[in-house]
Amino acid sequence: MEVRFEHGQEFNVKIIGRLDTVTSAQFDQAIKSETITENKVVLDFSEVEYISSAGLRVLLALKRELDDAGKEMEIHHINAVVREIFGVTGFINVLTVK
Amino acid sequence: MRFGIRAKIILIGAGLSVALMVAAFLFSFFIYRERTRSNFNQSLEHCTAEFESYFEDVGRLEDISAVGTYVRAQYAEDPTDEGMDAYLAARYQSQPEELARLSLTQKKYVYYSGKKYGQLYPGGGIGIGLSMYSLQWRNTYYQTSAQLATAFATQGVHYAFVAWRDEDRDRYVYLIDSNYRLEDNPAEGARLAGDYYQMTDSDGANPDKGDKEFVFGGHTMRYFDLYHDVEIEEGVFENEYVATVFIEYDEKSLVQSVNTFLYLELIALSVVTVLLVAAYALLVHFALIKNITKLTDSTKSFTDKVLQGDKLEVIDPQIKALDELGLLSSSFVTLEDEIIRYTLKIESDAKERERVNAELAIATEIQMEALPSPCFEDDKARVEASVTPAKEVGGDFYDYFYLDGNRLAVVIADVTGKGVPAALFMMKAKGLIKNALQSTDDLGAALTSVNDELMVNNKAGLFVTAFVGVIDLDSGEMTYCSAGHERPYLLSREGVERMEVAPNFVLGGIKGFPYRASKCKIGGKRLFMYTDGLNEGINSLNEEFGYDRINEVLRECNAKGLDVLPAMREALSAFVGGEEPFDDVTMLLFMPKGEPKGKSYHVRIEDPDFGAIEQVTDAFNSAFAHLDASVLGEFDVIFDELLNNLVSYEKTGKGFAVEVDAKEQDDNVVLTVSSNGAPFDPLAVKPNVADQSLVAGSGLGGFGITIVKSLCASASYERIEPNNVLTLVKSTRPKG
Repeated sequence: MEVRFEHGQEFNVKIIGRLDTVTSAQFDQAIKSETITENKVVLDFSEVEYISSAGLRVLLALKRELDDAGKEMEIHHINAVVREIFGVTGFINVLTVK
Repeated sequence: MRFGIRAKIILIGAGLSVALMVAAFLFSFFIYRERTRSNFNQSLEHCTAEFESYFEDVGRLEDISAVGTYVRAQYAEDPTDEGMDAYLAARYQSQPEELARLSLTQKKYVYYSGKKYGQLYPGGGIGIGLSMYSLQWRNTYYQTSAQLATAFATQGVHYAFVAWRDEDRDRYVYLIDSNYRLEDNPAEGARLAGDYYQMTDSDGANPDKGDKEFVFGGHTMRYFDLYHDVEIEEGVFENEYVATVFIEYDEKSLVQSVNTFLYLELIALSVVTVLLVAAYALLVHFALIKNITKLTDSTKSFTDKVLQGDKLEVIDPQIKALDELGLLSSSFVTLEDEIIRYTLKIESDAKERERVNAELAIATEIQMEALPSPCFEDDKARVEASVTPAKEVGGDFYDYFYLDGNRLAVVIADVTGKGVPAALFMMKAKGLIKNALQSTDDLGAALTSVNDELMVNNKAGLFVTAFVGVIDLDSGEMTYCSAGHERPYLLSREGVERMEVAPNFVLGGIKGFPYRASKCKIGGKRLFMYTDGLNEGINSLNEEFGYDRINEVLRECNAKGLDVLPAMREALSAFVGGEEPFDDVTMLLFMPKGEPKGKSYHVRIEDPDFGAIEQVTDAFNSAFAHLDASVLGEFDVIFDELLNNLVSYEKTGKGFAVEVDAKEQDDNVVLTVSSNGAPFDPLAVKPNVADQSLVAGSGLGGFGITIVKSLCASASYERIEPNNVLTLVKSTRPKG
C-alpha cells in the first residue's frame, strides 16, 4: 500500500493498494503524521482494491476527528467491492462518498 | 364433614322450630293478655256488684248511715270520757267476758254510740251501737269485705274500704276497710273508722262529676257511691247517700301475672323446641345423613384408591334403605365393579401394547440393519442414503451393490401400506430384486421375474414401487427401470433435471407384466432418488412439499455445493413443521467420481500473526489465478477479516493453529476455516458502532463478519472439538 498526500485548496489523499488489517495501520500512522490545515479532506479511492473492517475503523476515526475540528471529509472513486462493503456496514450513510 | 348436609338440614329444622315457637309464644301472649284484661274487668264489675248487693242484702246501710252520722257528729272530738268505763261495766254487767274481749276502740264505739246515739235518738242509740258490734254482724261484715278483697286480690284487687264523704270538711272518713281484723290488732295499714283522707290529698276526682277512678295517697282506686233510703226521726229520706266503696286494684300485679305466665310459657316452649329439634336431628341422622355419610365415605376411599393407583376392590356403602340412597348405593357398587374391570383391562392392554411396541421396535431395527450403510465410497463412486422412518415400521427401502467390478446397482422402493405386513413384504421384495439382478443382465427380465415372484401367494394384495438403476461406472451409462416409482433427478453443472421415465407398472400388481428397461448417459451427473414420502410431505396447511420445492433445494445445493441429503431433510422438516411424518422418507444420492472439477487449496499455519493474512491471500490468489480479479479481491477481504479475528480474539498462545481449505465446486468455492481456540462463534457477533474501541490494528468489531457474510452465499459455524469450524460458500462469478 502506498499513500500520497497533496496539500492545497483541499487536502488530497490518494491511496494505492488495499486497506486491510496490516496496511490500514500504516495508513493511520501516515495520515496522523500530516498536519491538516485545509477545511476539506478528499480521499481518492480510485486505486483502492478493497477495504477491510480495520480500514473502516481508520476511516471512522479520521471522520470523527475531522468532524470535531469542523472539517469535511469526502471519499472519491470507490470501486464496486468497496461500495458493497460500505453498503453492508452502513458506512455509505455516514461517509460522504462521491 | 365440615359444614355438611347434616348441619344444613338440622339448622333448617332448628330455624323452623324456633320460628314456630316464637309464633306460638306471641299468639298465646296476646290471647292471654286479652283474656286476663277482660277477666279483670269482669271481676271488677262483679266485685262492685257484690258489694252493692251485699249492702242491700244485709240491710246494714242504715247502720252505716248511723255510724256516719255518729262519726260526723262526734268522732273528731276527744274520745276520753271518765264515764266510759262505768258505762261499759254497767252495759256488760252480765257479760264480763265479752267486755274483756273488747279493744279500746271498740269500747269507745260502744260507749259513744250507746251514749251519744242514745242522746241523739233516745231509746234507739244503744240499739244501733249494739247491733253494729254484735259479733255476728262484725263477723259477717268484716269477713265478707275482707274475703271479697282477698278474692279480688288475685285478679288485681287487693284492698277495699268503705268511707263516708264529709262534704262539709271536704274529706272521706273511713268506716271500714279490708285490712281490718276482728282482733284487737288491726293489720298494718288498716284504717280505723274515723280516720279520714282529706280530699285535697286526692287527684281531685269527684264521683259527683261522674269520675270512676280516684287516686288516693298514691293508690288508684275505683269507687262508687252507695245510696239507700234512710229512716230517721224526721222521716224517711229516700235514696240518700250513705257511703262510698273504694276498691283498689293494681295493674302492676295484673302485668306481673301476665309476665309470670309468659315466663313459664317461654321456658315450656323452649324445652319443647329443644326436644323437637333433637328428635328431628336424630331422625334426620338415622333416616338420611348416616346413609349419605356412608356413601360419601365409600366414594371417597374408592376415588382415593383410584387416584393413588392402589389395588382396587369394591367398597360397598351397605345402605339397606329402600329409598333413592339405597338405589344410589347399589348403583355405586355396580359402577365400582365396572371401573375395576375396566382398569384391569386397560392395564393388561397397556402391557400387551408395550410388548407389541417393543417387538415392533426390534422389527424396525432388523429392517434397518437389512439396509446397506447409508454412506459408501470407493474410487469410482460415492453413494449416500437416508431413511427417515415414520412412527411405525414402514415399507421403504434402498439398496446398492456391485453386480461386477464396474456395474453398480442402485435401488429405491416403496411398499404400499405400513406396519408389519409392509415390512415383511419389503424384506421379500428387497431379496428378490437383488437376486434377480445378480442372476441376469437383463434388467427388464429381472423385474418381470420379481413381479411374478411377488404375485405368488400375495393374498394381502401388497405391491411395491421401485426405481432400479444399473450404472456402468466406466462408460457413465445407466440402464434403469421404473416400476411405477417417482422419477429421479439428475444434477450437473448445467443444473437440475427430472428424468423422463417410462413408468411400467408396480411390482406385484399384474402377473406377467413385461418390464422394459431404458438407458441413458449420466456421465458425471449425480442421481437423486427418493420415495413419495418426500414430495408428499404435508404441512399444517395440508400443502404438499411437492416437486417444485425438491427442485429448488436441489438447485440450491447444486449451485452452492451443499450436501444434498441433509439440506433436503432440513428443508422438508422446516416445511412440515411440527407435523407427524405421515410416511417414510427415503432418499438415495449416487455420485460418480471422475476428474476433480475444480481447483482446491489447503494451508495450515501454526501460531499465526497478522503476517499470515498475506501468506494465505497470496497463496490463494496464485492457486485460483483463473478467477476474476475482483472476485479474488473479495476472497482477500474474507481471509483478512477471518484471520484478523482469529489472531486478535481467538489466539490462545502456543499450539494455536489455523487450517484453511478451499475447494472449487462449479461456480462456488467452499472455504473451510478451522482453528483450535476456545469455542467461539464469530457469526454470532453483532456490529455496534457506538461501542468501538479505536485501537490501531484492530478491526471494527462485528463489521468484519458483516462484510464476510455479505460477500458469501452462505456461512455456518460448527464446533467440532477441539476446533471452531467456519464453512463459507462464495460464488466465483464476478459481481455486476
